[in-house]
Amino acid sequence: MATDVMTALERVLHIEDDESIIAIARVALENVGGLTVCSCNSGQQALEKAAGFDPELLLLDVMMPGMDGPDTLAALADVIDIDRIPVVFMTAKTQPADHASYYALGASAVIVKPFDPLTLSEQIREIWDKFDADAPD
Amino acid sequence: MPTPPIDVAQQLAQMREAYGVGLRVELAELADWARGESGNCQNVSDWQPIRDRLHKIAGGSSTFGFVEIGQACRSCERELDAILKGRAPAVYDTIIARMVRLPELLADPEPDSQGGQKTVPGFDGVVDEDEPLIYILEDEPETGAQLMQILESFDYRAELFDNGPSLRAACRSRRPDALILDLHFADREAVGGLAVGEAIQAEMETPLPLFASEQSAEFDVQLRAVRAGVVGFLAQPLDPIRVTALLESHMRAHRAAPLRVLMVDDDESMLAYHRLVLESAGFTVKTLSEPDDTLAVMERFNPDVLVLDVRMPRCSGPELAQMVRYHSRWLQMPIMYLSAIEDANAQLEAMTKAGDDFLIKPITPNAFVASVQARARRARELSMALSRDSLTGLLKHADIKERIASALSQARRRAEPIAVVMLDIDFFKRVNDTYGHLVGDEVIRALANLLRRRLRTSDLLGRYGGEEFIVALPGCGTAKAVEIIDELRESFTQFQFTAGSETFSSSFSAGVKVPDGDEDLQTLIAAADARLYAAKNAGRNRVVGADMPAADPQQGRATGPS
Repeated sequence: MATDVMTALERVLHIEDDESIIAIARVALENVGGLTVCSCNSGQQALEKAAGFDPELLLLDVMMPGMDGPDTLAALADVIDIDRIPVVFMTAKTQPADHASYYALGASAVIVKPFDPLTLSEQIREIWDKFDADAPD
Repeated sequence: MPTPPIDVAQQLAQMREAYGVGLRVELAELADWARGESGNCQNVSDWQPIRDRLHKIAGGSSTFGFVEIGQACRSCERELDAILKGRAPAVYDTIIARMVRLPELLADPEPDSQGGQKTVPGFDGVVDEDEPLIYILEDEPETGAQLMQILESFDYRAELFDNGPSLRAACRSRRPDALILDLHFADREAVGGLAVGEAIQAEMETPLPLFASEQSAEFDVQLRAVRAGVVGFLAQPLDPIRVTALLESHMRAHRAAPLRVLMVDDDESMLAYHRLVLESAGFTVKTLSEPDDTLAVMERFNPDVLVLDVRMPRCSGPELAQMVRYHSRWLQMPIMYLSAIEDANAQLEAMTKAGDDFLIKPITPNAFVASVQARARRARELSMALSRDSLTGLLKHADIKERIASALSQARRRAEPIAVVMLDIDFFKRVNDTYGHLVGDEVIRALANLLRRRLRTSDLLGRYGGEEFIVALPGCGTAKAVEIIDELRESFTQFQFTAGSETFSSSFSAGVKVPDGDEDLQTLIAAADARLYAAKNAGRNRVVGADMPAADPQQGRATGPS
């Protein structure tokens, strides 16, 4: 858990092509979790919004039409400093082999769909706290 | 985490409802497409957009509580992926059949007076197509080969490993359904196999079921085994029937139908919230805000557990519980109270009036799910134990007939075929007389396990009498049913049984009957039984799916391949 020295997580950039998932994730993260969410329905939109929003954590759907999750992540590297923030992939795939490949692409954590709207924010905060604790500085 | 404020619960419930409306349209479109346009597809790639739509639903619907639909779409997606990637032949029949049925999964569960699992022909079988995958860690080649042979003859996929690192790597790249570990692996004195199991468990997101291939009498070893997740020991020397019976008892629990919960509470928003919590955990939930219909709903829904609010305006939870307990059918069912009342006396009073448990609001979602699950699971195990035959674990005569009657009327409503099969072990009396009853019991158990393993989960199976079994195959016409049962017949003849120093094999005969009018179950069973006896008369070890010429039944020709 975060100690007093660390700051608490606030801003999450969520990239997901399914509007209904965007909506439920918003309730899960904002209303249940008290976070601020910027939702993007495509990698392209994320590129436009990312710099202005200055996210502290990326929540990224893996499979999207056009730019998929890994493509989007690679493109975002030119816009924001993604090494300093945790990147969470959201996927419906449950095979450990798939997860390993996401970690190789730079994911800090993988959340498997379906997610529980009541505990999603808790999960995200844990990932963030752990990332914060692991950070070199 | 604390219970979220009610407005969030309401919001989620509303979103679920809205999502359901969109989902209904989407599923209807996919079903229409499968019924019509799919026939015009020339190229594999024409299926890509459909695969993408299924993927989207698979990812979203479970999050909104439509778990069954999520699973169905996921299965279709997986199969399409295999075809699109060239790993499977471009045959779409089962995918199309499943897509056509998707809208049905959204409909309210059919009233099911028998309370049997809801069967959706052609869909429930999905799970079975992926045979359970089992990894074995064993450094004695002989024991390893013996285990492999046992598992393969029961249609498990098994892989043998003779060292820890390669087993760990395999678990990482492909999670098995279970592990069998040689307890004394690599070292006769120590518990090397257990150490490998512990290392693998540490790397798994959720623990794997472990089986140890040797028993240990030491308390410390047993405790360590429990902590490592060992769910059973395979007794030495390995006995095929016992090994598979143990694996089966675990796999069966694994594939059980979702637990059913009925909640009665006058606060609609609380109901909506708790419903969402339980549905996200995989339960099937029904809710009532008025107590009046409770018993009628219970008759149809057959809940595993009842959750009642204590304070309700028309009648209190404990009062309702007493009314429920007036009916002997519901004496066994757990009743849990959920209430904000923290007063110890009120709890005591509620409990003494027919309840089993008292949960205090606000309760965290995890604690709520865990409490309900524990009660419901235990209750289901108990009722299973009562309705099942102790030798085979199959449903007993009366219960299987009830289930089949329900499946029969469901098939009628849907205008689908259903095959009823009577099956009897050949020369069973001779086995008993020659080798004794214990050996005879092994033969019965072996056939029961074979049938249970190889039939789809939507099929119904029971022990009808001594060496006689009854099976119902929803969605199967005569030809298909004869083919399925004949494959089983062939497999069963391959089994080698041992009695002392002797080995012998066995066989069965079967009669298949598909209703052609609106015969009742008793008539169907009698017809299937007549064909079974025709099979016996024609020389046994065969399956008969047609009537013998009326003139001379003794000279009839078996229609099943023999």
